[in-house]
Amino acid sequence: MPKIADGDKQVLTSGYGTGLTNTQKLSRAWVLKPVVYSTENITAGNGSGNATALSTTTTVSMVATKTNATHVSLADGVEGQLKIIIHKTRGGSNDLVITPANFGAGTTLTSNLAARAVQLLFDGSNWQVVAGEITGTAEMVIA
Amino acid sequence: MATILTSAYGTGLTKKQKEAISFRLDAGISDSQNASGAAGEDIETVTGGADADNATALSLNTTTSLCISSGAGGHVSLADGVLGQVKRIIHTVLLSSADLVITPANFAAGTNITSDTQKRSVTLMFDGSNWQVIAGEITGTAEFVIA
Repeated sequence: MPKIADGDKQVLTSGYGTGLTNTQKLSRAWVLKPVVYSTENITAGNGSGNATALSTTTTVSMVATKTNATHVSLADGVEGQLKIIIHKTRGGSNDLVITPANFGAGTTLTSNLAARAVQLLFDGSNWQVVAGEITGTAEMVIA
Repeated sequence: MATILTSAYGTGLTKKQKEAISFRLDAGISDSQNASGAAGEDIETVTGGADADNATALSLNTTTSLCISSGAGGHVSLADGVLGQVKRIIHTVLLSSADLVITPANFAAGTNITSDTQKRSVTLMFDGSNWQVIAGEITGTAEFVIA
């Protein structure tokens, strides 16, 4: 039972002023069980001028690269939008180059091996890297 | 005279159109919880099996599996999911110096994933044929090691 008064003082122990209870949080949430993302399979385009546009209406893009098929682009999303890009197959030693229209960390992301992924989130102005194999011996290289 | 569509599926949606067809996850909670906020009703907790042949199967009906490795073993297995399915595996407890070994039925990046320290996680997504790593501590000085 929420406590709303303490003597002559008002004390809110449950509400926006002091945070929601777990029941209230759950009532406002989408419960995802299990989580399943929307997906697309695409082949990259031939060079930055012919990059294949990644869908901004599916969460996951699984990309294949091969000779003359190396580049993809990513238009701006909506604030809070999540985008996952998986370099699914890599043919002919052709790297994947991802060029977001606006990118918080640089200009492009490059993957030089298949079965790697990166997750981006649109902050309203730029795509930000929020997860993925971005390491010191970088697998997805930001440039 | 050519017609130019500046907003349609052919040339991309406006932000309003994108929002209209999206689910806003506010907040997104993977797997339900009880009212106390404690995991237990749906987030599963499993203890690893003794070896690969006796691995504990991770549920495909929950997004998150909390895994314990102990003297009894640290092997867990993961069957194929559905296209786009996400599986988050957290190595919550390591006892008796037993590593956690995750063996997906089909794994794009190798054969298995090993964690040698507790409080680590890896997130996989099923691409229709294989589980792909989409997030987690998979680094050059590997914490979760793909083999």
